[in-house]
Amino acid sequence: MRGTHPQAVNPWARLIGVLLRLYPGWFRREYGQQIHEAARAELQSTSSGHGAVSRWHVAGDVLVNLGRAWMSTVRSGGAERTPGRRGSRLSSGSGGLRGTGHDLRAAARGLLRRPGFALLAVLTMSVGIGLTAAMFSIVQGLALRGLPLEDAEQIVAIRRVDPDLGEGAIVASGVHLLADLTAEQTTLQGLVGWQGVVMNIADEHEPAASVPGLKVGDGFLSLLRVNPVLGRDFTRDDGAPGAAPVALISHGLWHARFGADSSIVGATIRLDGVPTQVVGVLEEGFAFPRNTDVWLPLQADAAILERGEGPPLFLVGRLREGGSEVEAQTELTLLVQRLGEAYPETDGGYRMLVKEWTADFLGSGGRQGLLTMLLAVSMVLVLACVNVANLLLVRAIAGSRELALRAALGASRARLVRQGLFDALIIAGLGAGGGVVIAHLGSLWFASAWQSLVGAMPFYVDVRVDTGVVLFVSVLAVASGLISALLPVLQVARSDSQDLLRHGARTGANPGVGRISRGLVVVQVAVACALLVGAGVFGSTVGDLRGLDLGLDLDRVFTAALTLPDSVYPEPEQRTNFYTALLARLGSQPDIDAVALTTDLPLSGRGSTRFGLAGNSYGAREAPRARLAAVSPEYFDALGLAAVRGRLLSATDTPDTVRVAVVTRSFADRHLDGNPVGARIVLAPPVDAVPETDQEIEVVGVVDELYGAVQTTSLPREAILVPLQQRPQAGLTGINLVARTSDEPLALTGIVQSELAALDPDLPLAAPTTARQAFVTNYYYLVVFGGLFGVFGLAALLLSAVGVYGVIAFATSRRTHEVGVRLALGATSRSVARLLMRQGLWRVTIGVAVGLVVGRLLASAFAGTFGVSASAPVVFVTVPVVLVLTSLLGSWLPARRAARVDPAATLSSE
Amino acid sequence: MAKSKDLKITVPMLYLLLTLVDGDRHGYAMGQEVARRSANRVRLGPASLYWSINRLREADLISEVEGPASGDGRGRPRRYYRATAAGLSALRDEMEVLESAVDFARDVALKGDRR
Repeated sequence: MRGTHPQAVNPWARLIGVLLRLYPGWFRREYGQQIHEAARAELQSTSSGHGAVSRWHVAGDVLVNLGRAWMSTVRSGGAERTPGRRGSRLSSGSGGLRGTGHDLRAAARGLLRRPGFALLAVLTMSVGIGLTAAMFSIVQGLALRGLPLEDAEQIVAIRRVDPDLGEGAIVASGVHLLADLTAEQTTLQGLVGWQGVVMNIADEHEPAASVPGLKVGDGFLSLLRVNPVLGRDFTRDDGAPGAAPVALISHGLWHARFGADSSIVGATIRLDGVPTQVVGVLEEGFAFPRNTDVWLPLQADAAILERGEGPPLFLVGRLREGGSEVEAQTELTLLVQRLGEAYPETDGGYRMLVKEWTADFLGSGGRQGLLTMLLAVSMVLVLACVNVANLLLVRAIAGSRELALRAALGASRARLVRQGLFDALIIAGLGAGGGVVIAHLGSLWFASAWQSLVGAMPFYVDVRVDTGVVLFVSVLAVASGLISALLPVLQVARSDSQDLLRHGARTGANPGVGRISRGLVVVQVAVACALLVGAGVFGSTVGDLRGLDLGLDLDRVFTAALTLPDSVYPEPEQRTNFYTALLARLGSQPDIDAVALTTDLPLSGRGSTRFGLAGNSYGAREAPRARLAAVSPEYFDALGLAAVRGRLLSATDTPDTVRVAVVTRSFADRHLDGNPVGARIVLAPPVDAVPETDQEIEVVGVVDELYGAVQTTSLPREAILVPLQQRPQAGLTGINLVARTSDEPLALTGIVQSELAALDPDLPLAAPTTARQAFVTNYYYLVVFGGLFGVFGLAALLLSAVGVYGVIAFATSRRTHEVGVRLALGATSRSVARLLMRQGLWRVTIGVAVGLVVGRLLASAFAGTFGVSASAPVVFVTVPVVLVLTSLLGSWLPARRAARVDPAATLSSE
Repeated sequence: MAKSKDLKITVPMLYLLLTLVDGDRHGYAMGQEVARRSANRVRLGPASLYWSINRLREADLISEVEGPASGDGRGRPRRYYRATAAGLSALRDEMEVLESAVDFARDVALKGDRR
């Protein structure tokens, strides 16, 4: 038996009290007191008996009904619930107005009463939420959604990297590596190699076209758990050397080219000139790894090929159930190290990287870039919240006499606070609606910008506003609403109604709040400044790229690509002959001033080659690297390149003459001590041996830089150019055409196409464009992300202008009396306006200073991630000027209005 | 009384209504009376008690009236509840249903005895 413990009742009673406070207002006001009394009585009576259970019973009862009360409140839309007592109990503090529904309606009415204010607030919120949501939908589409395949998180990209070339420098794997890994690994369910190819597709119906193709190893589709919708998968026999050529085609190609005719299965098409039987059509939307339209079996047998020979392969694997990337990476790296010891020449010094497929596509830089963007855009959202908070605050102060009156009449403070909260939530809710629209437009823009700059997105990327984004927006809206409500609510909560009544709107209610509000100007300007600097750095880099004087006149240069299929042109002479014939035909065209072929376009380029200085011996992986392009003689004419020293390559440099090369200025400076002409170099020097003299190449001239106007990759900018004729093995994987015209470059497309068709009707022309566009496309991310950032920056500028306006308007409205006195004492309205504006200006200055520092840091971060130049002096001058000017405008408007008041009216109103 | 039709009258609500047949009571007294009359079989926690009262009020089955001042005469008047006409008629309807149920039960029980 326990005795009565009055003190034991207290904590329970307190608990009940806390729980009761959580009830919806209408219910709490109506019954809270009575429930509390009843609960106390229960607790008293039960504390003597089997108390513990009953106390729990009482507390549980209060808790259960808490849920009930809210459910019912929500269901009835927060409408007034309690009947029969309207207006009868002023002392309850509700002054006859109560209920969530009422507050919501009151808030909506209040907003409608000042539509300009409401519109401004809602627009501000829409911009903040919309931009953030747009960025989120981009991040989601690129990084979060993943492959649309079964258990997609198990699918990993397996890369061989060469640490010597820099972090993440990927080197293709080979058939032998694949065979050895497949035999020994245990962390993957499966491992398949693939080789990307560009295929020329031709048939009797349509003109020849170039389509992205993929040669895939055995078990490719089953690894990805994808089935053909028509026909069959490849069999092991299809991949055997000498097997009849077969292909699978994408759903998209089947529709676009073959009219979705199911008789395509079993039909024969020409792929790179080889009659190939279509054995199946794949699922709609499947285009692994990115945008493949045609899949072929990979015919490469490790048992037949020399180690190190064979096609360059990329690997895709599927992790074991519950396996991790790290586990697989550790195991594969261990295996590769062991292979490196066994075959140092071909396999030495590599590591393996295993990454979830979509993460691999983005790369760590891309992911970091996206996160930076998301961070930046959330600054815009913060700015929007600050603005709305400020607007609400101004309104709260302006209405503080009314508030005081109502507080004095018994409206509870909680209630006033709640109303402020509802104001903010309504604004945020409407802002969310506008935000979804903006996010939708933003995602459309992004998709089309990507499409026009880069081409088709990988098949699994889907940037759009979906439920996830809408959910994200909702959370943002609620959070933003609460944040925005914070200040005005604090203002109300802290204000003393006596004080309010006495001073009213003249001196404002709470000097602390005024301070906060003015402090916010600094924050706003700083954020806007940082974002504008970020945008400016991007913009100036993109501008530099577009208008860059590369020493090359790219605007009149047409470029395109073509691939001579190995199957039709297996011998180097055949390719050389084709090239010669094509150049002769094009060279005789009146519209073409100069035409050439090159393995690498200037300012782009995909890889680098090791080289050595003649007479030197290099250990494994010691020889330096440079870019290498094999070019036909008119290359220099076509690009307008002149020799800085020595001579250019010419048609007389044939396979029968001395092997020669032209190098870029940076190459000469770095590797040849500024004395280049006559120097001798060796490409791909043998390991630990002095190369034979017949391997040597003589440097005959120097030209200006071709690569690295903007250093965005780990690839070297030093380059070697050799005659295409002296390097017949070049151009196996495709070659680029460059042609100079005095006319519009794209007008050459038709001419080139018909000349090409005259030589080989199965050969399509790929990617016809201007050289400058081809160059800019290389930096598409700068354009896309720079554009995004520009939008963020503009939004920030606009929002900060609105913010400054709001704060100055607020500050001046509180000084109306003072202005009246000054004017009455003879001050001119101009001097008064100047006085008022000065107040805002120094805060803007602080904000700009802080923003420049933050912006500088941001720019350095971008310099690391995107390769923009962090020190664009123009940006660091322009941004502060623009911000100060906007702020001046923002403060001039309200200051002028205040300075024009009629002094007599102001003074007599007090 | 469209409203009362919407309300599903639960056993506790029925008991609460019954406590008001012989006069007005305040909420806590209604709860005590329910416990007493049901021999503690029906016990309403404090919040459940007022939740049910609220439901009854919303359905216009009971209404609030001002009661006499509490104990020492200084406190504010306690809030009493009174069954409305609609409440009483709903009560009659409920009783009829219950009576038929009891009849039914007896009927079945008798047959059961015979078996």
